[in-house]
Amino acid sequence: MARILIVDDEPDLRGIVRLILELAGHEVVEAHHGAAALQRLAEQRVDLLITDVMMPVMSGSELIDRLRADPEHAKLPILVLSASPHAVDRADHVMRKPFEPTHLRRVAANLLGANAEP
Amino acid sequence: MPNPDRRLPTGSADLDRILGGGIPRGSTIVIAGPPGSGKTLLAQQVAFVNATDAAPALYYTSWSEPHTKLIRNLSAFDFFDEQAIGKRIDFLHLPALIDSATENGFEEVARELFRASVQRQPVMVVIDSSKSLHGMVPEDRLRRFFYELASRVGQTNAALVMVGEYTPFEIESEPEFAVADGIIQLANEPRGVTDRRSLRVVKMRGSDNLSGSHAFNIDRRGIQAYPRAETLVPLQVEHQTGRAGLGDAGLDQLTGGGLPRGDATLLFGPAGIGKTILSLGFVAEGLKEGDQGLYVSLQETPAELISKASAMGWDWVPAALKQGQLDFLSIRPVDLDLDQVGVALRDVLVAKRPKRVVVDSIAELDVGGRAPDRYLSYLWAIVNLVRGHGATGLFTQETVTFGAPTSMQLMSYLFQNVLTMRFVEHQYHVLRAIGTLKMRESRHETDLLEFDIGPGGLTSGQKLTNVSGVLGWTALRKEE
Repeated sequence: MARILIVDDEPDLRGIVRLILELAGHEVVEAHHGAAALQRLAEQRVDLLITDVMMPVMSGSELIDRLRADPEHAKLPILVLSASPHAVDRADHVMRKPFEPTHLRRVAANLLGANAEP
Repeated sequence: MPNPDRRLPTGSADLDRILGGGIPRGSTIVIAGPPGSGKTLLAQQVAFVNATDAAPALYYTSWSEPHTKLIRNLSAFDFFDEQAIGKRIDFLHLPALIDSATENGFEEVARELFRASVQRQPVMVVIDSSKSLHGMVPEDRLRRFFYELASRVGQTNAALVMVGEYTPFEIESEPEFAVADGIIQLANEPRGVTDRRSLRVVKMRGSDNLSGSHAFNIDRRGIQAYPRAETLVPLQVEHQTGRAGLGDAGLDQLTGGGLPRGDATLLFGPAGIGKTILSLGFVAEGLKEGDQGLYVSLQETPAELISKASAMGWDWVPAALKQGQLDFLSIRPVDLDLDQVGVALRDVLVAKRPKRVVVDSIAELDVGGRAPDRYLSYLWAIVNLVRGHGATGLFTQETVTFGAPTSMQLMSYLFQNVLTMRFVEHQYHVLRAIGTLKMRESRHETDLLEFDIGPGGLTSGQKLTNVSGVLGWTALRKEE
């Protein structure tokens, strides 16, 4: 089981991703923008970060830039989940909204590594 | 005059005109209206039209719609550009901002929106829906929030646009309207079995906006507005001299040489008397003389009019249509919106500058427009729209009697000239006749002129001198 942090300003979207990943056996924590995500990461270790791009206070792009510049989180697997068609540099994978639940599960599993799959 | 650089175009040139030049930057605008009236679409349309990489649009949404659904709905419109999402336009969830603000106070939201406005230098900041903020905090704090938001964003070059399902009563009472520089009220109201979308600029500071209710519709282009026809009329009518011949020597003699150029003429007559043939002949005669022509028909299709012209032997009419010397504007007489008709007419008048214009007939505008209270002012607008663009106008109107019209519906003051066509009973035969009821400041004959219709169009015959009841409603009887 892995702990996954979902960062999205849409609560409904966070709820959907949470459900998909919890059904796959993962523990899910949430943040509603980039700044809140940094706070979460300071409090607890996570194995995968799934983030939106367009968010108030701190965007997903800025969040990724900060994490990559931070030695503690530089190698944290990051999946971008966005309605924007523009790829985000330094993310490990980019998925467009709307997405297929099975596709999300598969990509999350790949990023976590085969051992992380329950 | 408003500085165009300080205005954001809306994507509808006529809506810009209604607003007095577009959405003013550095101002707070509220778009209000009931569900389904097009508020969100208007805000998004302005965002897509104006946002650039350097000056993006920040679009804050509430709980109303997930972003994926919102974007999917937008893809039906021409202005939508998928590549703009996340680059030129950021869709941001407002509740996320409010969640984070609960610890630091609601005023933090205003500061964050201001911070984003300074940092990103957006062309516009949208809050959709601002009404959803009500009930989250006490009214006095909300009032302060709207004041701080408006005053801070007002310091930037961005337009702050707030969208909400506000009722007319709320427009008068809610705090966001006290700080608003502009208020655009949208409506979608049933009219019989159809619906009419309309908008009204309740307020637009520093703008020469158009007053009243203006129609709009939603199509692939998004929101397209149609200013009230009364506001389209040029301020001055160019004085013209000379006559526009009617294509028949007798008719020209009856009218003192043809219709005075630049005038509007009303042509009354019962069904089947030949109003369309006379009108088509008027345009056809102009084409021969090199006049640009426009025929607005609410009865016949262009194909039917061409067929009629061909039957009359006016072979140059289809050729003129092909070459662009003639335009047909075919308008369905049902489900019509008077202001859409006005804009369609104006567009041809501006683009082609026709010298001769026929509207056949105005009765359908009355019936199809379903706005009896407004009909005469609308008719005034249409008549003067034509005259104001330098055209000589001929407007037909069907009478319910076979003889003289029973009522002119107080319309005659709108027209410089009035011609009447009527049937005349004579020895078991029915004749056709035409006369002039009125020709302002112009010499003309007062007799009735017999006419016939056949190849070549309307051909006048002799004057009906021995008749009585010329001004009555009964059929005329020629004395033996």
